[in-house]
Amino acid sequence: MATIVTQEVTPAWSGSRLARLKQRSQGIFEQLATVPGVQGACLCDNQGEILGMLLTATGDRRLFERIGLALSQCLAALSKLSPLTNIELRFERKLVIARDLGNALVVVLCSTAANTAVLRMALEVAANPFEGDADLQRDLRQVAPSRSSVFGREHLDASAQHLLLKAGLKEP
Amino acid sequence: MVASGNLSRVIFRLSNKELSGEVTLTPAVWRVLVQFDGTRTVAEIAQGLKLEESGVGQIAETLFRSGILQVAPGSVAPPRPTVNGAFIEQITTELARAIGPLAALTLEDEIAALDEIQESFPRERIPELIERLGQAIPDDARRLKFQQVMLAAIRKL
Repeated sequence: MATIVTQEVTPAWSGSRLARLKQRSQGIFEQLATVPGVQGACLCDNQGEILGMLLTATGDRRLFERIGLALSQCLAALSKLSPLTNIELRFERKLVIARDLGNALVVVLCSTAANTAVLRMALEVAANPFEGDADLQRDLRQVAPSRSSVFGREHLDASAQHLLLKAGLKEP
Repeated sequence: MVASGNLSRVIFRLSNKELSGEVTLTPAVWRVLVQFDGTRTVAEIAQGLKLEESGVGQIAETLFRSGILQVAPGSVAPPRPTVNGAFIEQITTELARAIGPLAALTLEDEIAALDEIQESFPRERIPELIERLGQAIPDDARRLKFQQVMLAAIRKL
């Protein structure tokens, strides 16, 4: 049984702005929950902060905070080198797919049995209302203007920091 | 929409893979499930339980598709379920809405590119086919509509 957790009231997210975010993120998670093999998902802003989650028996908030931040950093780094929409990471027992939503990122955790073609199509269909909501995109930009600051957060070890500096993707 | 093959000569055993969700089994299905010991065919199990072979075959297929059973080493491979002409026609119709009269030809090309034939296209490759067809639709809105409709159709397979 999957549980959808949406953004709570904060100084940045309240009133109609919050309602809009909740509606769009609910739509994405409801679509993803119907895909066999999906074990959870999270929605992050440009700085890797969690905006919502789809939780199953497999994951919890802490896990998705870490996954969300890591994929936000990957997307921020890689998209400076060339335009990027999707990242797919296949591990021995898990599959992680991340999709850029303009000023947000959705990260999906699946079993390796999940059909990636179905998942990609479901993401495409689910992402469209979110990406196309100009008001929501504006709100997201106002709360977290840029992806550059995601490198300043913890979670990057010395090697990762060095690589980012070397590639010119992070200021010394 | 899906034609199943004959599983009577296939030997199954319990799967050792992780299941993605909860499973509920009726007593009748359980009675059949516990017979799949990796040594007997579906036909032999049906005979032993004095049940119709087709009925045991259907249970075996359902359990196999849900990941509870896997094919035992040394067994003949189960025939792949295929989609019928009505589903292929549905794909053509929806694709035609998106790209017009070239739909049938595009579908034919993509099926050939996957090394399959239209008359026996495997169900498991339908998502892959739909994804490839989606990439042939230049208009974003039409591609999205096509994917939306076909995703709903795939879920009913």
